[in-house]
Amino acid sequence: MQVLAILSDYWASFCAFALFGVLHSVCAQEPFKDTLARWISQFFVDHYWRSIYNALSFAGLYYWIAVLHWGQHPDDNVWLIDYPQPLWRALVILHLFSIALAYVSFIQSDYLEFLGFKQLWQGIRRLSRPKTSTEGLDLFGTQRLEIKGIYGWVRHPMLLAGFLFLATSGPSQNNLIFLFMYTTYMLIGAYYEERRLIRIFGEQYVEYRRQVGAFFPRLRRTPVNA
Amino acid sequence: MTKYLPLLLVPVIPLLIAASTPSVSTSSAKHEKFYNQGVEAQKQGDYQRAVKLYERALKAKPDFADALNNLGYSLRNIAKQYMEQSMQSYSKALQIEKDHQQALEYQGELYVWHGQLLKANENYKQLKRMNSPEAAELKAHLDRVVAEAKQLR
Repeated sequence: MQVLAILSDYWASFCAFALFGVLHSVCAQEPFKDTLARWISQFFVDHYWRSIYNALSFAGLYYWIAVLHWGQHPDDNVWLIDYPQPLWRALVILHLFSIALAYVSFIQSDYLEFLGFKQLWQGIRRLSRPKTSTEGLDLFGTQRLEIKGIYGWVRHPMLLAGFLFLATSGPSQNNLIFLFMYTTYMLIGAYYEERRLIRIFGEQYVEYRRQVGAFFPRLRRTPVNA
Repeated sequence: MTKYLPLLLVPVIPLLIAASTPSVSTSSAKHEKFYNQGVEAQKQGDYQRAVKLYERALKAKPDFADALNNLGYSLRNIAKQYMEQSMQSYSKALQIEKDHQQALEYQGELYVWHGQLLKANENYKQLKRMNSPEAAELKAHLDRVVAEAKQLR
């Protein structure tokens, strides 16, 4: 009956996170962006959408999910299990590793581009100086497939970093339930993201997927040809 | 992605362990942690939150005398209407641990507040027999009320 108790306690944050997950995934998909381009303009989608999408995602996570999840259950931040010291030390090392992993993958994906600042800056430049080159940006995950460096080890280093970070955080009821929600989202989100990448990059991505694991490095692998 | 489904067990396993070992290390750690968080809230003057946390500690360990004592203290600091509940908490704490010094002192203070000076004096005598430092604090309360009573004439 613990499951029912958890469901009744956390139904609001479950629903909010599910809705967030759907919106977050749908808004990154090409059909949505194409529709947005028809309604507003291709220029808007190319230059401003990424930063708006990130701002909305951050606001959703911080002001909506976190408020409903941690804010509504302040008494459930207490740790449910006291890990033995050696295990706890190992978890702290993994926790620090997850931060390093997030940092490396963030840098490699070009964080200015990932956050949408590069596109935004180019959009502003083009508006202020219409004669500026109309050459498009070679965008990560849309025009450019990153398969080297950390992406040569795992296909979704950022999702993995998030998973490791949460899994090695204090084992409170709030954290563990959020980890469950995140892991569900990570698996579903990665599935749809891969379908999108296959549509864009085709055989190149299929070959990459054959050689590189999604979340865990493959011990026996052949080098990826760029 | 289906081969990664076992990753969902990572958060589920600790939750199951916590749910299935009610009286060993998990639960004992839980009641102490709620209690410690309650003490922190009490120190910050957040008595409403402290009450909630002590109640959670008592849910995990109903015979937790320290939590009962502090629950009584926090309740009486929220409002006068909780004095009766506060008294019940002290009484329960003393049933579990009859020599709980702080509970004897706080209960004595509550007796003083209710004007039951003889009962308060009994608590004082018990604390004095135990050479408890709490005796002096209760004595100060009693002396103040007795001094005020003398001025009535």
